[in-house]
Amino acid sequence: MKAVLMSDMMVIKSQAKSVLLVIVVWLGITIFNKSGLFFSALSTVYAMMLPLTCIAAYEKSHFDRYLFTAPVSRASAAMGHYVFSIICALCLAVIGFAASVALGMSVREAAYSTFACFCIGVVMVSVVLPVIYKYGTEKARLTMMAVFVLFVLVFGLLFGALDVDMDSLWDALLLLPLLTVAVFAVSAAISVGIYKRREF
Amino acid sequence: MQNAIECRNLSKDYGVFKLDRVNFTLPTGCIMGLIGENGAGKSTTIRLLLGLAKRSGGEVKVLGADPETAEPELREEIGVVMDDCPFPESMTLRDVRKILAAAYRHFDGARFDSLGLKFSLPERQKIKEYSRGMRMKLSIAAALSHGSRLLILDEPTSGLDPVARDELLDILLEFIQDERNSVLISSHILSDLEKACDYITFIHTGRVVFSEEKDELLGKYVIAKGSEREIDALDRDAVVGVRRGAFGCEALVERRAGEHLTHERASIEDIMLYYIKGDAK
Repeated sequence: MKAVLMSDMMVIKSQAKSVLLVIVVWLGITIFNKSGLFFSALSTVYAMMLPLTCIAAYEKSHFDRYLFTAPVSRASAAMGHYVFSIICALCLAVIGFAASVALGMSVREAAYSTFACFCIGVVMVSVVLPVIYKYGTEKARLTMMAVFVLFVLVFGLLFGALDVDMDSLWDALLLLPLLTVAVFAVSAAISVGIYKRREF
Repeated sequence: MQNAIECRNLSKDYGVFKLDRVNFTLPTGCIMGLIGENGAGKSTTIRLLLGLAKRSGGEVKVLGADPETAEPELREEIGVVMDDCPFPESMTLRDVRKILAAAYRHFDGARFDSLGLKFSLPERQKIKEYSRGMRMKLSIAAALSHGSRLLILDEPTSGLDPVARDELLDILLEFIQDERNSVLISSHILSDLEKACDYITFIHTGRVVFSEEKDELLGKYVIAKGSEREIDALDRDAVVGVRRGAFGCEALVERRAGEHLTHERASIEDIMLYYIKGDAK
């Protein structure tokens, strides 16, 4: 798994300028809007896009095939991108949390909202990665868009229709980690299965 | 002497293409060339040897283990060079070094660095800016820097100029100086293989036509030249193929049967071409 993580980091490092530019622009918008939640929400999408960027680079050069000629097990290769996504999501969550607190949100509220966004990010990654492994990045881009739109619609409709107050929302957040872990576990099992059966 | 590679009735059925009961053995300390036209099954064979695809039948042993079920540690000892550089184009030599260090327990950074210097690979330049020859050399440097005992190369010379090809052959010959090491190389450029290989395995439409020691093979056949009547009079069992032209005929024939005619040495390329195209005996 170390090799996959290192490879992912090297791909992102080679695109460091554009990654940093995106983060800075988002931070600028966040400060302008005085809403740390904006950054946290967008970071969920970015956490999904970064591994997609890496896997697309691997597909182009057949690096994934090369990895399996090295002493890297298929299971650890499959899990490497999950771990990398979570590391990215965590880093972005820390920035989002700091921005939220700096812009006046209470620590409790900032922690809850950042954590919720982090969980949603992990769920989205969990939905997208098996599709990438199975069908490749081109087809997965459509899935990624669909997943994002679906999340926005579901959450938007829920908030609008149910007139949810913040306290009951925080209560509901208690279920989010369970849901996240469950989706993550199922997704990881599917991905490992896909990688083990995959032929090059 | 243990064999580096053993294939027994290796088969793979893709529906539209079938690798059919491939048999060959690469003894340790030797270089084997895998030859055949495009789509003959060379790359499929290599993928099966590397465990990248699952075989439909037969047995394979690579360094004494089945690549499909062996622990990933087996691959510490196998250096792989594919037809193009496998590292993402946005990476540099330094990035590749870090990845290899993370992937291989026996990665020898000093060896990788010295190969990088020897091949004049720029450290900070992105791989996308490397020439085709430099990319191949990077792949070779990666394959040689983790204590490999077996090198498997799939069309590494395609697209390379003669100088770069010659350098590659020198590297292989240097690698094989250690008699614990072995090389399997597939290539279209048969003159290269003729220079370096101890064994030649010829695959045609998914089947092994022959797998023999190169010197025996080269000594076995001649190209006999003569009139159509003279060629037609040759022992049919000894003739591999015939080419009929306006000014006479040529046949690839076993030396014993064709030596009485005007004849010349048959190269590996001649042998392959006569097997494929000279079917009309």
